Amino acid sequence: MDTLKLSRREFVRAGGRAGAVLVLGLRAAPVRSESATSLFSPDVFVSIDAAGLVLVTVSRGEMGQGVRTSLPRILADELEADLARVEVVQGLADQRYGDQNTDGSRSVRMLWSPLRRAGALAREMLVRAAAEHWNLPAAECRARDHAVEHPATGRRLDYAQLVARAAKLPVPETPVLKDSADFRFIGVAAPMRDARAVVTGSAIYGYDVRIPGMKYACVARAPVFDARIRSLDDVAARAVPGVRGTYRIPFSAHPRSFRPEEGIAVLADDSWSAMRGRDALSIDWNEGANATYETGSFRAELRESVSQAGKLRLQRGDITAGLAAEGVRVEADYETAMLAHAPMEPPVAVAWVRDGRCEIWAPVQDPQDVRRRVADWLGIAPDKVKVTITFLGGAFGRKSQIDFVFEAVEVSRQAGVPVKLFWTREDDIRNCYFHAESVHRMEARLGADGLPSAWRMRAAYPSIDWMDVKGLDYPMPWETGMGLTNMPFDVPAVSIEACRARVPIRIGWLRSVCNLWHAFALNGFIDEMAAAAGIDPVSYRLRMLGKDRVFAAPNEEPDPLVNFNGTRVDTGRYRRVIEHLAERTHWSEALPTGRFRGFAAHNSFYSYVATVVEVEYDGRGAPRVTRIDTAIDCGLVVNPEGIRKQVEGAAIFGLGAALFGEITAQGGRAMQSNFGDYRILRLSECPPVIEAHIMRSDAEPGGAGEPPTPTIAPALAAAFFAATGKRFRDLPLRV
Amino acid sequence: MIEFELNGRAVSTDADASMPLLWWLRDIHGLTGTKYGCGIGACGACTVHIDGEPGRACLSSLGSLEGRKVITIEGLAHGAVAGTPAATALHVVQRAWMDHDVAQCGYCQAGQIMSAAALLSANPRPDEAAIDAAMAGNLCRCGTYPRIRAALRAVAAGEA
Ligand code: FES
Ligand code: FES
Repeated sequence: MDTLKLSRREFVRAGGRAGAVLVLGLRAAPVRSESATSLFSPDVFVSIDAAGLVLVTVSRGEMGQGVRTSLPRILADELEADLARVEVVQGLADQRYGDQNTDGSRSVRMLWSPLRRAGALAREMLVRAAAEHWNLPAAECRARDHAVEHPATGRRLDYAQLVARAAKLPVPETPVLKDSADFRFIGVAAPMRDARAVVTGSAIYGYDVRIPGMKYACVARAPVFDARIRSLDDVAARAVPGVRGTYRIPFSAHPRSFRPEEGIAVLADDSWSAMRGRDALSIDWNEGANATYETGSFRAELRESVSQAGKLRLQRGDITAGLAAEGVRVEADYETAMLAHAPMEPPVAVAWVRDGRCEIWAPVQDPQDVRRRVADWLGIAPDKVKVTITFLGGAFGRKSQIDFVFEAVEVSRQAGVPVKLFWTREDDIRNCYFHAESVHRMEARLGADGLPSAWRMRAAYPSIDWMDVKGLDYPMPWETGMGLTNMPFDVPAVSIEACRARVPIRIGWLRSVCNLWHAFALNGFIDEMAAAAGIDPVSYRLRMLGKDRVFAAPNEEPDPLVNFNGTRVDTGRYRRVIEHLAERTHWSEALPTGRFRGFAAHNSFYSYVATVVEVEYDGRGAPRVTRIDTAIDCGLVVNPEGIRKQVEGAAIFGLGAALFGEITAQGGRAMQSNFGDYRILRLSECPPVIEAHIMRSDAEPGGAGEPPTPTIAPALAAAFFAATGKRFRDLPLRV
Repeated sequence: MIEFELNGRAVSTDADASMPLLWWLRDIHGLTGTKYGCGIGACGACTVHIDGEPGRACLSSLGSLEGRKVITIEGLAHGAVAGTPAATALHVVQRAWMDHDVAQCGYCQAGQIMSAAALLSANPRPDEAAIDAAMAGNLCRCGTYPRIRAALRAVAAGEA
């Protein structure tokens, strides 16, 4: 495998290789700027100019998760910089930065060490430069506030006065990192760095890129997965004022990875003319076998699938004997609907192919991946492809699945002009890489203590690996590894099985991926077992955890750089996050009449999360959510305000999905196409209180963008059960 | 030829009268602060002020704007802070948005701010129900609603 080919899936599977890339990035020779005399660039992530202005390169995309705010603070802290004199440079696609895939809740996780190191080595060099200048021992000097001081004599030199000398010094191999007690920015709440650009409308998203000579294109693409064009009549389309031409996006054979569906692009002087031109196209599609895909019968197929044994993904103890033993038997099926990401900014890319080169400006999550794949598409070397990441108007996984970039590149290649290839909302919903639908069957036998002595879990959902493995029809180990096989509970006999599911529509990853349905099924079933045993659901979870243990998560290769101790599941952290939230929400105390609540917990992306959803219900209509409390242990926190915002956003994302997130298919097509029929939560539907309880932790940073999402739906379902006495085993919840 | 006022200046265009303001603003006039989110009036990302009222640029044809006054996010601060140079001026809502660290990806926020500013000019002291009603048509996929509420409450209480 090419080491740069790290999609999320490959990352999870082959963490070790991602680590190798990072190491290469770090050990790369120090980069000197063109004017090395005036500029000090001891590392790819940092340079300081003659005025002492620090430029920090952010190599990940900003999509609302706050990397342009949090990442520079890590470096600035080690550097002892004045934040007012720190500017952010958005990194282009470049291997020197190591992995750039802004996905899998890992920006802080993976850049924590490289950025600290970069800041520390720059600081050490500045201190040495000052010490040499003063002819004093470096140990007597210290960096403070963008300057080096000699406290004994009160001497002080600003970084601006030191960069020239520092640039001539050797770069230390092993800079000494600050003690965490001395952090000044890390752990301190910081508002969004780019807030002013956002509120004034001047932030440039992918949709906003304008370059001279640029034309606008949209695509009429396969209405059904893998549909082929039988015939095309584009005469009327070409006659629409402003339309410049039509271009075919070729069919891509499987395994297709992120290559686009077949389609016809209409190129025009402006977006509106392109859309009108597209409306005038007449295309006869050969829709193929996937046109029979229909949600109802597909769901029945999945149910049938979990009634039979699947591929064993985890086995512990004797499940057959365990399930056959004496004791209470609990069984339940859980089903979840298909979802679309619907980022507020639909997919879009600007591309300009000319003279054997290609330049791209786009809201993409992984610029290196774009560069490599586009180079491959065009048959040119990757260094001929330049990728500039714009602000991302939301992504949630959609913008690492880059079919839209290929479309832009292809139209520009054929038309010979810069092209902005935009998707409408209808395009976005209909041609999504959907979060798949799923069915889970849970069966358990409870022992004399009320806890499960044997637990069988069967999961059926189309695998995301269809992109790279033709004809795949089982969930892969990395997929069941996102929440099932790495579950923390100490159960003597366990069988976790991946059951058959074909792939009749394009599916992909969406915020939290498989954790969404796994957390729903796990928590739902734990509540049912607890009820069968007559034990409070929170105490039940704590008892199921058993003694604190740390164990290696199955289906993941350990890697110190990529996942720290994260390939290990720490049941003590899981326990503490539950206890913390139970205490903060006064779980053991009764609620006022008419108030009810539900609890859920889940571990994902090396973080531990628990959620309590509280509802109000008077016996009529549907319960109304009054508050959501989420506790998170995501290790050491760089920007608590950023985490808080992610927790709030995840609660709203999760709540909307649980209440009405549902894409249905008929004739192989998604039946929804815009916000009128694909509902997302509105402000007027948002609970009055959403509170984040961030745990203090010294563990290495874990993920924060995704982990607070999976607990919302099961906690809501539990609250609905508490209110109505009815179990809710399907998503979206139907009252 | 269609003539109207945009952010305090007279503009004229010979573009197709049925073209929605949104695409004219973004593709032809070059003001990209007003965003596309749905094209059907369902998300509020394209909210502008038309004669002082919140309006959806994706549903407003150029022809319907003849002789009217349009304000976009780029022009919001101008009238609001009299005498302040345009580059440093912020509308009270924009400032409140920064104080409450509202934005995540930020894409919906121009529309949110335009709706909020229109609400406050019509009703300087909106209660919760008025806030919910005025802001229900502005979707935010990142989930910034609690902070939008907090920022609006602060302005309504005269704290911003
Ligand atoms: S783009 Fe106009 S309301 Fe959505
Ligand atoms: S801040 Fe991202 S859509 Fe609102």
